Amino acid sequence: MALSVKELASLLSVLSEDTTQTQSFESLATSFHHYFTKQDHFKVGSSIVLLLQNRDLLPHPTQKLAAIFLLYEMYRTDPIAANPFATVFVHILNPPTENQEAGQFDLHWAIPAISPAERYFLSQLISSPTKEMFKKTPTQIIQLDVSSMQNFDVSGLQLALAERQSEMPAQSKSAMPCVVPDRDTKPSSFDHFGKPGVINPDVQRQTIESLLTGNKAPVENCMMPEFIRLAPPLHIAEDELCWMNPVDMDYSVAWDTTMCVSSSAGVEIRRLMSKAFKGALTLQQQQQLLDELEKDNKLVYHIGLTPAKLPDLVENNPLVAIEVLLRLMQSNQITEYFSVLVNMEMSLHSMEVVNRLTTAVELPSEFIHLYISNCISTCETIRDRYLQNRLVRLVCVFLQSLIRNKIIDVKDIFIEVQAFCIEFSRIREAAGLFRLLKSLDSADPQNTPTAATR
Amino acid sequence: MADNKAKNDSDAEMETSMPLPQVTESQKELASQAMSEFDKKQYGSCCSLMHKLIAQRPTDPKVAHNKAVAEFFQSGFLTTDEFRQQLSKVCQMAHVNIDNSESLEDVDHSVIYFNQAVILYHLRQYKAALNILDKLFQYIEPLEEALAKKATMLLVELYLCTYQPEKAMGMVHYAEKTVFTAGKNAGEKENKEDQVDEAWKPKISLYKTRCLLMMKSMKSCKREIKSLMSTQAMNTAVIYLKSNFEHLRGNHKKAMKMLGSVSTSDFTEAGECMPVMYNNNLGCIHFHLSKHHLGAFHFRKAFQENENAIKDIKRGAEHNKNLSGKTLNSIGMSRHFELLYNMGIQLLHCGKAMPAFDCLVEAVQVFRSNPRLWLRLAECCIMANRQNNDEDRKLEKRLEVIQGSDGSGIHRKLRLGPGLKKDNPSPGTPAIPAATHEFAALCLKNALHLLPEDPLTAEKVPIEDSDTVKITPEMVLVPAPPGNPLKAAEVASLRYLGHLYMAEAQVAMDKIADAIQLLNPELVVDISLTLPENKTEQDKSERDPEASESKGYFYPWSPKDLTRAKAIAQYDLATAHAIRGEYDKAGQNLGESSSRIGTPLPAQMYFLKLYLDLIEGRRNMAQVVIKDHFGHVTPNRVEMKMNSKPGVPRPDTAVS
Repeated sequence: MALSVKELASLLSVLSEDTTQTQSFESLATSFHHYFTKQDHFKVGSSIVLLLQNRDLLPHPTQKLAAIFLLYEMYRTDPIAANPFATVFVHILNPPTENQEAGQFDLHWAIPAISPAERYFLSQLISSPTKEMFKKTPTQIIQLDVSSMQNFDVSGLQLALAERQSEMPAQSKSAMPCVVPDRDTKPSSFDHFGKPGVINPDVQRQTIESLLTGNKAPVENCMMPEFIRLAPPLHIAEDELCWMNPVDMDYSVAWDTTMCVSSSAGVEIRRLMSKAFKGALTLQQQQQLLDELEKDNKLVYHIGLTPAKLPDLVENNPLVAIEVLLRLMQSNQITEYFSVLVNMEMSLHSMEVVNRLTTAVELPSEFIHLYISNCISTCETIRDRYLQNRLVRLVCVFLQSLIRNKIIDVKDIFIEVQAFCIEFSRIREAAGLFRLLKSLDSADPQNTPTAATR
Repeated sequence: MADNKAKNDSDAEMETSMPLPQVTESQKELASQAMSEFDKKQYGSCCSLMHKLIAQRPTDPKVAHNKAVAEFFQSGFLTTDEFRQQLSKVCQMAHVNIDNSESLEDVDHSVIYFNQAVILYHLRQYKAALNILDKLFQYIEPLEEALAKKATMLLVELYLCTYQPEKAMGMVHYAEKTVFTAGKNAGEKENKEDQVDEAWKPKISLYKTRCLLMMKSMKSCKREIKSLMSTQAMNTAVIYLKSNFEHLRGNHKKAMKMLGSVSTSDFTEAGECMPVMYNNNLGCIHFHLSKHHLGAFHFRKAFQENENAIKDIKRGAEHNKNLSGKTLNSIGMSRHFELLYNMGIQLLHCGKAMPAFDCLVEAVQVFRSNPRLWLRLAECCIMANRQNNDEDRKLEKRLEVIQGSDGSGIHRKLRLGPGLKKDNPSPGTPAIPAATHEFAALCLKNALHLLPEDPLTAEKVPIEDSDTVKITPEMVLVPAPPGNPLKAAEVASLRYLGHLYMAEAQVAMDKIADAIQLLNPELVVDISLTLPENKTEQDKSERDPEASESKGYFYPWSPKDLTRAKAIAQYDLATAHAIRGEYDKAGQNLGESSSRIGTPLPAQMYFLKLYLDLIEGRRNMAQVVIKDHFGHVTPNRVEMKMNSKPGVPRPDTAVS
């Protein structure tokens, strides 16, 4: 953002007292563009604004006017509202000093007021510039008598800019230049004795250089109100650190004690099981299997029946499945088997297994309910009409059996089953089941939820 | 048998496809001899018996397995790599796919599962080990009893290693009820079973104590420890647990005494380096006593001991590559990363943000799923950028308010500073660890992401090459704080900070009216930062009255009191007003705030004071401030007469 020393020299040559007094705006513009390209414009503009804010740095009126002109000239091809320094023009035309009181105002950030002639020139420049204007020199403009001339109306532009400004957050508009004049009231060298307030060109040049050039030049900075942003406290670490306790255990590799002690029964039964997953066993084979299981309590864990294989066994050998499941009741995996069972595809065999299990052991009621829901939805979604009728009959008989044997409480499934019966009322067994439900319903009206609605 | 074989061959997909030849009587005899030699720890003769047996039964996976086990024992557990290879061969022979199977298919394979889990445990791949043992546990009932015991114990250990004390405790209870119950199998075995049970009692008690400590149920823990101390007061593990217990209760001196009562010069049976643990635990104690530099000293010492121990082992292992050459127990011995973690936290509390950051960034590569670690990393970044909240009051910060002057004479300029904030986005991407706010934000996102999840499922650490396994302890070092991660006192201060941050954000979004409401200093009612004495644990009543060595913030934080906290909020309120152009209100709040915020004033206050004076053109007021506080930058006295004479031309108008 800062200028290089060479760039600064070029800028100051364009803005020198001599040049600005003698040359026309046109030729000022030409020499400016000779030194600077479009990319430079913003940083040059920022530097010009800083110079304008410090009256001792652009002391002569022609310099000031030329500087204002350059702010315009840099963005002449763009619409005036798009000129990033358009707000500077508004600021110059409406100096903030108007609400001054008591004389203690010294706005270091303001650009000093300009004369009526300069005002006239600036408002023409930004509203309706003419070619002749640029042929004039800054001196000519300053000497212009504008008391009788009509002012150009720039209120439209001002309004547009004000509107654009109001869209920007207040924070972005709160900054203030970092450079504050603090002129030395005492002479700084022998040359200056008796000459207070006289410009020393060398010092002036040095000052401008240190403000506008170099690393972290003041022109790059601004100052704005700043929050105190507290860092949060460290999280309380009460038991966060890793305390180390010796582990008083030797976790070592184990010896397989079952080596070479396997019985021939194990091999044979595994062979039978693998057959049982694929097809029905003969009665004799079934008996052999069940006998072996009977002999050894733990054998059931060695037969290779995982929950995933249960459906195959159920479909092919429901009787074996029932026996095996009954033996697995102590296993902590039994719920896995149950959930596979109630979620498997509904069939005569699966129903048979569930039915037998319900009579032999107490199954968790949620499994039975899940199974019933499964059955019902299978019946409802099946496409094949013939198969559907068959399945519905099966489900009805199954449910009747469950109800008669008091395996399930009718209350829990009443609504679901009733809807099922109505949907398939064309089937005799469904009607029968419905009648059974009704009879239970009337027998115990208090306990049935639908009794009141009837 | 031939008949069977033919049938089985046709069933190609059956997992029991290859039928084994019938075991002959002589093979049975060999096997039982081998086992008894193994039991007698005569691994040499056991090995030679197994060689004979394998020659006769080359396809029997169990024989191959036991041969591998015997050889591993014979090597003194130095051949871990070979054992792993053998084990995977056995898996092939038995058609077992441990990693991909959903459950154990055959109880016959349980030993393979168990041994695999043991190895993974020693490699500190606890998650993987747990996976396997969970599968095995589904078949715990039919397991042979010795194996069932070993498996449940390892399961408890793994739950503890992964900070799941409730699950561990559940397993201990289960074990007590079933696996270790006397007389499970009725009959003549009963007496013998009783003895075994008795022998396991102290082990079970140790496990329980560890669970209870981790669950922080101090009352039950006290009971358990008391009974442990009455029976085995000389056991190092017991003494360390007791020390841990006292430490958790806040009896740090007692805890230190306990630690000191154990000789620290050797390795434990399980291959752990006692000096490392001793120094580490001393570090923990000093941390809690807020003696951070002493704590750091002990952690550093623990670190050195750890390095030395590893060096010794490495030297022994130089001839062999990979894991082999170290004993199985010492493979996972290094506590490098835990120590890094502890050290990092400690350094952070010493105020050494950058060294802490370096430690934690290394630790996070291993403990990736630990949300607290990510939080701590973020704290390091914040501290690296802002050492503490009092740094605004330092002279060097105040010197930034006016950076100097340019020019001289009529051209003299003061150069104000741009402010203290360095909000410059850091170069590079936030993904590269560096102590920047961007990286901190990333860390916090990670922490937040990890927080609600089960720390075990959070991230899978890919295991690279199975032959050259790197030791990747996938453990979570500390538990993700369950339920209530923050202490009540912490919440109060964070609510206060939340208001300040929110207000600043609202100003940035141009919602200054909202910000002004939030910054009302009267809203600041509590920033208490010390934990109340009868504090937060669930079992308050159980705390010993003598255990009152106070706990609180382990690192000082300012604002320390309510007045200052309010004053800071009021300063921010002044700032918000200033930004909105309400300079009178800003000035009033700034004045009130400055009288309460405590001296030396934060540099921001000078900035705002100068800003308000200069923006309203009170150049002379500004000069008073400059002359009083930054006298070195200006030669000018305040011209008081300027104030009293209205209409005097401005000093610099004379120029033009």
